Amino acid sequence: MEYYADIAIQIMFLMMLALSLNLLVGYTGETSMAQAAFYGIGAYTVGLLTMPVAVAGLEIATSSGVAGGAGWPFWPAVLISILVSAAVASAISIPALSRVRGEFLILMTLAFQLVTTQLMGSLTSITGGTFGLTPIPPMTFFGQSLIKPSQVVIVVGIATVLTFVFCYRLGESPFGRVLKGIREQETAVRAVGKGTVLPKVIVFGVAAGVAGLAGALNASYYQVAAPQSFNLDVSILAIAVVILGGVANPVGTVVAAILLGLLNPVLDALVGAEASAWRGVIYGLALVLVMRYRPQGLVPEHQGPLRFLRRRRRRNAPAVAAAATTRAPRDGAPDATPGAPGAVPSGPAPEVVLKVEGMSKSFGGIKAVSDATFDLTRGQITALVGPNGAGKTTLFNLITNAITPDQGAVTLNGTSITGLSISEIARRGMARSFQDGRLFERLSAIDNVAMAIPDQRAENPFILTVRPLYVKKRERAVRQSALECLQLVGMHADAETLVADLSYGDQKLVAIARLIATGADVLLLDEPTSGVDPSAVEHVIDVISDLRAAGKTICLVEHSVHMVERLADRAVFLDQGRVLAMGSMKELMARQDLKEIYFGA
Amino acid sequence: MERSEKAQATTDRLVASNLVCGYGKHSVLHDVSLTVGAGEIVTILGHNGAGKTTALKALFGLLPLQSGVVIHDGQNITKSSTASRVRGGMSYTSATSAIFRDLTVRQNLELGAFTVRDSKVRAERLARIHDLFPVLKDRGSAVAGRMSGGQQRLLSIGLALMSGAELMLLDEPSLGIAPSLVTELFESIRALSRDAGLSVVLVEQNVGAALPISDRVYYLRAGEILLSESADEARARDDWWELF
Repeated sequence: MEYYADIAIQIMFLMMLALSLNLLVGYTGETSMAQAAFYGIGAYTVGLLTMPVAVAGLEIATSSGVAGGAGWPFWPAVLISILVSAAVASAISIPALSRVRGEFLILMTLAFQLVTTQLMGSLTSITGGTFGLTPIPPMTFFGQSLIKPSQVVIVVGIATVLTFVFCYRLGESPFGRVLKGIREQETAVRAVGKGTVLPKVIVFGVAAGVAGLAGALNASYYQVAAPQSFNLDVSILAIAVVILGGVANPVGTVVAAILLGLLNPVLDALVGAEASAWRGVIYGLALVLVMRYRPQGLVPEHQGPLRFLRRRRRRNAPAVAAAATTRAPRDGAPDATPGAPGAVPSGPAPEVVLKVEGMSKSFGGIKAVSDATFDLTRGQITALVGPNGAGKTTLFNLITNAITPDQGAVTLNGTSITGLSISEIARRGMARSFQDGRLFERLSAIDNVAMAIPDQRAENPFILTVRPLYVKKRERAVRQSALECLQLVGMHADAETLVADLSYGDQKLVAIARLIATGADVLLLDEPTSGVDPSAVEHVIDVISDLRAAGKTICLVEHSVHMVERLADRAVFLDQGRVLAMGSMKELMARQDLKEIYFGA
Repeated sequence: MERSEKAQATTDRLVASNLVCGYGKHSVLHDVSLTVGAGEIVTILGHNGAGKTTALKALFGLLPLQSGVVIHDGQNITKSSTASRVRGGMSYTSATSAIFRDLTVRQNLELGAFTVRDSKVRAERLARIHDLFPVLKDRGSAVAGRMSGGQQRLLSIGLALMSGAELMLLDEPSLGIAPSLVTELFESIRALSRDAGLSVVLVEQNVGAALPISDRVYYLRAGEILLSESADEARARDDWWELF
């Protein structure tokens, strides 16, 4: 009995560690090599806090040089362990996470893991050195000290269930959606006006906090915290569990932790002393086989019992919603009519919304854009036309500061936005789409669009935890708005389809819906309809005209002359990075020189 | 048996019969059959999501068939790998990401001719492509991923042409390319098919540009071939989309 309880406890520790790591690896797409270090920090913290205070002249039975602890009760110490792990993790992650590329984080966490293990072994006066910090008092539960595995298994079991529910809910929440967006396309998350560094730092801290909880329980159960329980091997084991189980699926993590966790006792029973040798072989083999035959893991992201239940429920919800909606403007909804209609007089005076002055950028020796000056007028559609490589997309990148210009100024609604980040620019009311879509491929169409809806307080993990009902209500409204945006482009029937499973043309339509969902007043569309079938193009033309009628300011890069002629009030002709001419499409096409550049002879 | 099949198929460069395939459990193509003759340009028209890209991938061996047979130059290649199809003279240009972004333009083009041993042939083809798209010559040493979207598209087509394939599968070649170049590009494809016997399966939403150079048209809807007709007949229609 005690033997089996002990095995269950070991498995549950692994489970908690891997569940926490899955928030990083699975949901956010950031690999941390230091999860065991945070596990260990939790363990040592609880040890130092709960061990009895040293009394002069009275030798405590500490094995090594540690004089004594703080003598705290167990549960407050656990709370502090969680906070310490989370705080350390957040602090060290900021420099690595503010960069876009994941390699920095891997290297940095690897270094942190190695340093931490080293310190655990050598800071003898605090950690007890290689033999560990001991004896740590056992955990208590309602005043009872728990020593027997059959007692401890209940507490650890509760903690594991809570961890599972917490990780699952966090991952499937609006906050989790932002994390998945970061995993799929970080620039696109920024382009719809959301910061990406803070969510990453938060999730890094949260994951470390959960690992810290597991560590605290671990130390109190074994009554020792020793370096070898929290070294790189343990970090790698946790990564293996996540990958084997399936990323971004807590159910898979649970399954994989059970399988790998059972390996030890089973091997012990079968081969006895040679177990450790066999274990390595079997781990390796299992990983290779899973990678070969089930690369998405045992329980892939969009599967599993819980996910299945969710889907069924969802499928009903949008059906009702679709029947009820006819583009009614609503609070916070990114509808065609922006926030304060009173502030926007639909008067006759043409109002310059965006001014671009003297924009220049060279790449190496090539002048991609030189001294481009033009402006956009409210309620008008301006087309950027010109041959390939004229600098149209680069100009979009410069205006939104996706690429830093060498020179030039951008003014939006009279305020300079030069040098602001792309997400800040989006929040101020100018959003852009990408030529290649940049969608979140492993998210459904509706989640793609929902990501772009601004001011989602439910994306705040704190509010998420303390006001679940409010979050639920907000999320329903957000999904409803997202569905309406999909409906505008005629994609509502595919709302629940993963974007990766949509055809290229349909993906472009979802990208338009996502851009509309930002609610931005100024929309920069980069080839919105290339690859879209002609009948859908007609529909998109109607959608864009409606946006114009609603007072949006639109700038369009498009090679379809048909579309430009139908839509554009004005065209800016670019060639080799220079603005050659501006005027109506008719005027421009009447000029033989431009026509030659654009249409050939 | 094999011999008679061969005799039948001599005029057809590619015969695909009763293709069924898809992703995971749900199939996207149901019973699609099509043929492409030597020097023939065949265009597949259809709505977004009709299965056009899936059809090209299936022909190129990128998706396993659930059933169906593909015969290329009289050889049954249903079970052949994509690599062996390339050696057999097929090329495929996807609508997205069809280039090596971190290599230079020149290196990309050279890789296009990876299966060609003869350096003289490679140089000849390179010259022809430089003729066709001068920008690929001018910016030969530029990193491909740094070029504009339209230029990358040109490069992807150049890459396919470098292989000297006799059967090109082109997914939306005109994507992001300015009108002047679209015309030129399509004319050069037509010229290659006329002079060098190049066969092409074209998927294109720019119907106005694709039809004039096509010989035949297949209409694909929801994974099934609705109709096949000559491009002349298709051009005479002004209601293609009514068909769907």
